[in-house]
Amino acid sequence: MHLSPLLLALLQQPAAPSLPPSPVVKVEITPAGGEIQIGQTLQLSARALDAGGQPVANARIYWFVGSDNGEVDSTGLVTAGYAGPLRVGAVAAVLGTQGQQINFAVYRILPEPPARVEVTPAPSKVVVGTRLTLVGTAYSAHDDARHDPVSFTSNTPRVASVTNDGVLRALAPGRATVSATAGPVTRALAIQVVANTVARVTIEPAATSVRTGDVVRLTVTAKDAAGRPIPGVTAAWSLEAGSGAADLDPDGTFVGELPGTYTVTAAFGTRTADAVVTVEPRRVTRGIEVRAHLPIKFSTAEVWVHPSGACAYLSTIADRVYAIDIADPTHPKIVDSMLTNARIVNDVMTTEDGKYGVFSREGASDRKNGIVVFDAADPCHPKPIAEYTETVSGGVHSSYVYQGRAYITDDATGSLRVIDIRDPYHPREVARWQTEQTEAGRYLHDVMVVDGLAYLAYWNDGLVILDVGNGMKGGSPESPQLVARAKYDLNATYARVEQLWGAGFVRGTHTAWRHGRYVFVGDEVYAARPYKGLLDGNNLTFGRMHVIDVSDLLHPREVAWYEPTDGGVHNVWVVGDTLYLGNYQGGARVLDISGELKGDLLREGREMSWMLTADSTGKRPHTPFAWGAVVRDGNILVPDINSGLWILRLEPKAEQTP
Amino acid sequence: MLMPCWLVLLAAQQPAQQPLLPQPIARVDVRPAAYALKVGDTLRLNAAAYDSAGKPVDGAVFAWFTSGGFFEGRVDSTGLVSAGATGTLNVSAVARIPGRPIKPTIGIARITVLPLPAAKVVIASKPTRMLVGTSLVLAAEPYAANDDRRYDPVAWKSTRPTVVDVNPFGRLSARSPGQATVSVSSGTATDRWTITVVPNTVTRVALAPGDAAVRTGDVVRFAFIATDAARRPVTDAHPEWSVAPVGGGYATVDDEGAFVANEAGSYRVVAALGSRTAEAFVRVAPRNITRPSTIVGRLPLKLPAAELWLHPDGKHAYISTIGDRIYAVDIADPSRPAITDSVVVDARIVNDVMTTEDGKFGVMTREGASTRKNGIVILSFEDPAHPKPIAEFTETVTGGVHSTYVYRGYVYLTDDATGSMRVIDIRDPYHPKQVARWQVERPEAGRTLHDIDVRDGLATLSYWNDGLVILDVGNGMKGGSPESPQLVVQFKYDLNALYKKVELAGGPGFIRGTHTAWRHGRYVFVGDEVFPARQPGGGAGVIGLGRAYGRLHVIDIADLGHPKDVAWFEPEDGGSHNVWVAGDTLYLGDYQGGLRVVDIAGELRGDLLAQGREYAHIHTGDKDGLTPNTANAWGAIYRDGLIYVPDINSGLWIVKLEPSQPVIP
Repeated sequence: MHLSPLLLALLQQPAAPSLPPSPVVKVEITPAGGEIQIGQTLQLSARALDAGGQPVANARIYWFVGSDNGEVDSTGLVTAGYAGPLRVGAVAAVLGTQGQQINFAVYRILPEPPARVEVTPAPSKVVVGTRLTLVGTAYSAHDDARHDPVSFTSNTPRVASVTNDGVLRALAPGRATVSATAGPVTRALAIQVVANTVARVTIEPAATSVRTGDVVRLTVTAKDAAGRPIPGVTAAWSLEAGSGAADLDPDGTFVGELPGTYTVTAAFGTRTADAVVTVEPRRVTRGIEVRAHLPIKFSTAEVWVHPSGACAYLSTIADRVYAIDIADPTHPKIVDSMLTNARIVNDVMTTEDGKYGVFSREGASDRKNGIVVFDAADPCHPKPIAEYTETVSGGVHSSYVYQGRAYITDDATGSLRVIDIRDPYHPREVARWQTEQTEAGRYLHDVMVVDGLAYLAYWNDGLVILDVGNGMKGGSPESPQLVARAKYDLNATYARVEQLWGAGFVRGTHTAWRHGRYVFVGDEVYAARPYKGLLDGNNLTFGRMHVIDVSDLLHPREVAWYEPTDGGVHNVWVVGDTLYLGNYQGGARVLDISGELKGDLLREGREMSWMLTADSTGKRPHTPFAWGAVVRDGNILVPDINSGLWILRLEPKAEQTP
Repeated sequence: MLMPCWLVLLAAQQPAQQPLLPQPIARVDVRPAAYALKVGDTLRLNAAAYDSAGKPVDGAVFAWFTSGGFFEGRVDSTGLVSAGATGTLNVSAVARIPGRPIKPTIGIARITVLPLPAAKVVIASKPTRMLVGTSLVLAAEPYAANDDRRYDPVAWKSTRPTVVDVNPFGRLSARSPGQATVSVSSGTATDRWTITVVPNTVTRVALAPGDAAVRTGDVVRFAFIATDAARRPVTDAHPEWSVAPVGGGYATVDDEGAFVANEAGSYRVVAALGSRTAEAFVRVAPRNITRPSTIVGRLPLKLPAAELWLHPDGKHAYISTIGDRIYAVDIADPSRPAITDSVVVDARIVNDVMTTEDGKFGVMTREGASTRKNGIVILSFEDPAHPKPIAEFTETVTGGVHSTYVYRGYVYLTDDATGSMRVIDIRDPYHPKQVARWQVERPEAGRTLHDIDVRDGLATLSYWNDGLVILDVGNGMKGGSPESPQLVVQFKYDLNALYKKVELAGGPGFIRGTHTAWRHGRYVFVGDEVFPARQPGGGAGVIGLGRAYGRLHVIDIADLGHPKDVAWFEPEDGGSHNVWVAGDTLYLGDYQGGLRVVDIAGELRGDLLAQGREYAHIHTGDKDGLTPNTANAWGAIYRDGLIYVPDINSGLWIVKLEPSQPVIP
């Protein structure tokens, strides 16, 4: 969860009713808009005006950012952090009066200039007669996708011609260099065109039957008249007409989104071969059972199950962590709590052996936030024993406990801090790591550590992978080393949110979970404002879960996604072939992630189950707002912000009759 | 909306008012407990009650119900099951002992209703002439005599494979000049036809347009041009079409060269005629049509709301209820809608309300009347703020009326009891009289007519298990009139296969059927209503949130004799209930999903949601609802820039779409 909207809500609280009304009726921000380069600053000024349009002399202006890609200080100095619209708010209030006025201005932060061009596909050898479309995309030095047009040229058009927009034709044997240019940068592709001696083409497998979402890797072989394979030539793949929808890569990787019979063709010039893929419905839907629901008075946040399985810890968007007895998962009971000085306890987690744990603090009245270390030896009665605040007094949002260290996010600086808790009574910081684009808008949201690799959900910076002891880059907890980064275009992915609610909204890389060859990366997305006219309704969140293939850790690749249409993706949990997801308004979701993943998992029918975590009880009835899920022994523990803790279980697979 | 049938069961399960004595019945067995029937068959079920020691209980009597998908068949008071439509019937026997206040005990049998045997194999287009060296893939689908889809394996054969070869997937390859008969069989059904293969004189092939730039969801129709050495067009040149994304993406092209993409990107479209291929490239940009919205007005209601109708004067609206009344609402100031009056009748559900075109009179429906006299009530709307009942029509429709459509002095209504359409003449509104009855010819069990819409003298009937039915009721194309409706066409689709996931999630025997239809231009938008067999429960007094499912089919009736399901919109978080179309925009009540606004501009094909054709999505729930914060949108009406949405849980919403915001990359 990200809290900029909360700040706004606090500012909008009505003052005590006995005060006279504020004379301010309007706030004017200057300049009212414009463009800023990343890293640049812009001084804003604001005037509070009364009903006659005259400045109110004693009005105070409070500045804040409504989006998360830059900063504004108390004087109105804006610093541009990351590309996209930056929404800045100014609140004008007069002390001793009731009410205030807010106005917003939006500034567009421009991406840095192109620094490289990527071309897909990038063929090195083709036969005469081949026609391929090349797509070029420009990126900035910090991996921001740019939308500049990429133009193509060939230095030997009689061998390989290319149109300005990338249609390549192999015309005669020889060599040619095709260049893709965006602004100051060019990518050159050396292409060899060979005579078309292809006499026979075969595709393996020639016929196969799969379900929607199953990935089929088709391989094509070209042979000459003597039956000798011709290596290295690029085929043009296509899908024959028919009902249904399927995705086919330039390398012959196929996935069916809808059932149907698909004919796949691979062509080398005029020589072609076909393969047939029959795609049946996936049919993985399963019922879900509500084993228990424990309504909570506060807004709840994270849940963690103690390794003993006896108790779970439930944090709150408030000042406490509940200990809940779940020995009988059909009758969970609150048995204890830990109170602290905080407005948000976002995260809670224990050590692997369950002896100690950590919870996070934000919004403490004494401005000393950070983390609290607790003794969990008696799982149902945890006791705080120490705290660490020194370098993270600005607040900690998330923490991950791994082999004696807590990997925590520092709200104030957007950096990762590694806190050694091997002596849990004396926690101490041993490392700090951060991205280097710019401090404004740098925000680290979540951390997970697996096999000595830390997966950082770095908001504007995407997914960052660090070696913190794995050794592949010589990293250790005391000296984290960068392994790779996978950034994607948040502004383009969520353009519809901007269209719906205006520019400058909350969106970022929010959570990451490594499992097998994939990292499941969830975005958090909130609209810039609620519906005009809606009072206390259920607003919409958005968000996509990206599936990033890290089988080549140095070159992460986005291969699939899951994007509910009725909410977002918040926190995930994976067990075996199944992913569990808190979907905010959409409640709890369960996904089939078996096998290779490619394309749109929702449309492939990989959603196994669905539960709206809401009923007529809870802090806010009938309104699902599922935070995440933790699975233990088949029980799915889902904390819901509005309604408390749910314990669900998937029902057995139903017998299928055709 | 159809009242979910578990309500019937719940009613049966209500504890009696008298104090309960020790329970003599421990269990009820129904035999056979599971059985499969064909459509039209019957089966006698027997029930027996046992005590906790396993001994039969004397004197127990049984009441029989169908729970879950009761629309697929019936059970009578003696346990005789009639199978009406494919699917699953959960039949319950509720035991009681006359004169003793005991808790009703239930036994259940699961009856699977199977389709009739394959009677025909349907092939969309059968080529009669092919050029040497060319190929085509044909899709063949077996159907029962009543147009239920079957999934028997299909076998292809050619009498002369040296002329036309055919592989097991239906791919025909023309090898040499001559004639061959191709046959396709499924079970006992066979179709065969003759194909003449002629020499291939094509020397040049091309596509038009050569390249195209469109948005997701825009259909591009490519034309294939084949010419011989003298540049003369060659007839019978049918290419095989294919599409390839450049670097990933979803797009389709059909066997007539119609292309549509779900995702932005570049696509290569290929038409292959033997070894000759023609290519075109399509650049697809995101549709980017999402629009902001404003909630202009709200009117929470104390009863669950149902249908909404706007008076032609634009200043008054009428909301029916899942209760005993309709409300008259003043909407002259849409930011302050206010109830001005109500009409209360003897009914449990007033599902539908509608006025005549001139706004002088109108009709409301009745179901669940205490007197068992349901039917319709005729209203005078001459004072629009204060409608008054002036007559009723119940004679032939005492079992209840769910939906009505008022058109040129006649009311077209659905008769719950017989599943038939009745036409009631209300030209003299004080003396309504039935002038026609029409029904699909099928076993009576499972015949359910849910909704009717009439335009241009054509009635579109949403016939639950029987799909979409179009009747001539005055258009003249089939000689029909209000007094003598004539069938134009019927279009069925496989509800069981489409909603298999609902069976997997909530068990067999769920509610699913063709629920509503709206004809607009060349399309009929047909919505299904789908509820799972059970919803998540909760403790005493706890109301859980269930969900609906359901697809909106887009049926192309440009060729009225051959309707084609060409596109669909299927929300992932609710269903499709009632629709309204104005211009190029479709408004949909999506139950849990609230209001959805969909761009239906241009030709429609494929998955409209995936193509980004949703303009807006408004969750119609707030704290003021009968059930707060819980959208359950019934439908929508568009009028003069405003969208009026009745929500079962929260009453009336008046919404405005704001202008589109530009997307700056």
